[in-house]
Amino acid sequence: MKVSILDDYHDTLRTLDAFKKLAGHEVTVWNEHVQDTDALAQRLKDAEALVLIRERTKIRAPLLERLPKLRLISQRSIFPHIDVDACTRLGVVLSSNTSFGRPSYATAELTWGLVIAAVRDIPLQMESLKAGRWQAGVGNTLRGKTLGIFGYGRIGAVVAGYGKAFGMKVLVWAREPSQARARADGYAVASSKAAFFGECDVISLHLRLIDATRGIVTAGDLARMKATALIVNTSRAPLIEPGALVNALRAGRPGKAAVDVFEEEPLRDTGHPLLNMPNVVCTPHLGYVTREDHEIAFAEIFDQINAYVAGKPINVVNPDALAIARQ
Amino acid sequence: MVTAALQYGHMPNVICTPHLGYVTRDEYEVQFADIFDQIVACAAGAPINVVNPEVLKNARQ
Repeated sequence: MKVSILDDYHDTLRTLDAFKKLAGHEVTVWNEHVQDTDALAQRLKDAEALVLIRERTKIRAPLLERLPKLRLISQRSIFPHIDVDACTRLGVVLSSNTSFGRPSYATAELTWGLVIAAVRDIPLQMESLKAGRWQAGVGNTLRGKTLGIFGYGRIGAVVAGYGKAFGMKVLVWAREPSQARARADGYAVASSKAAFFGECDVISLHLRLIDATRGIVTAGDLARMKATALIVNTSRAPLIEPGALVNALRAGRPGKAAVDVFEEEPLRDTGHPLLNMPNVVCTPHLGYVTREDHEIAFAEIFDQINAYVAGKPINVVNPDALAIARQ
Repeated sequence: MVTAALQYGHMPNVICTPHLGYVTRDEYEVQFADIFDQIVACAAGAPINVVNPEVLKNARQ
């Protein structure tokens, strides 16, 4: 098949062991991100299979309608960036595994890196050292502090374990079934959402972004946090009410934030307030971006292509598309 | 103090921090509680954690 890959920013996929699975296919890799429909239609005009890296590019009906040769989109995890109905109508099969059992350790590890970077002001301290000014201030120790885990799913549970390993008290806030799992794992559950935001020294968000969780962290929640507290978001930006985080940081509660996810990605606006606050540590959505996690994800994504070619598509999100699948 | 630029010539594969290991508010609380207790104890005539006790014979008044 003619396989096109979008948004492989650093041309990493060719260097993965998993890339061998595409031997025999005609592969085109695009490194530089574009979202413009004309530009994408031009890039993908010959593509029969399209590989997407997470939610980096939106694939909507106006684009799909201009890709008559496209038969398969192969990707992993959630797909809010894809117009699935349009795919089905046009006979484009979407293969995406959403039920992998393994948590994203890459995201959990980055979360912990951001926690330490923020409480010790590591980026600021590095800058100070490089400027010849030696130390820039005094940080905080994690041991004995309270770590709040908001959303006790697979990643939340791993991060809770890291907090425990660092001698922190772990406090969980989550939906009822997740609360029960947290208790079974030996963690305390907050008496209320208000108490959770008021008591924790570090809060990390580990929720899926769905309608029920959009804006689940409100301005009021943030205002309850301690002036010394840190909020970490490696999940999705819209979990926090629009604008609420910047306003809260300006008001001094919480005192710090560490952010890997943004309303608009890729974020290229160097004037974005979060990028310009000394008490905020920002990274460019790196959570899942490790070689090891890419090996696992793309082995699966490339297997989906080969399964489709073999006439036995797997992880099909829109089975109705198979009935009208393009030849 | 040698600047990082001189010593390491800006290596992208090296992360440098300015000896931050012990530099946290909590660590300072613990350490300086001890250090200030030592001053208070000395002022009260009963010095503690003395490394060189022989000095006490000819300690300054």
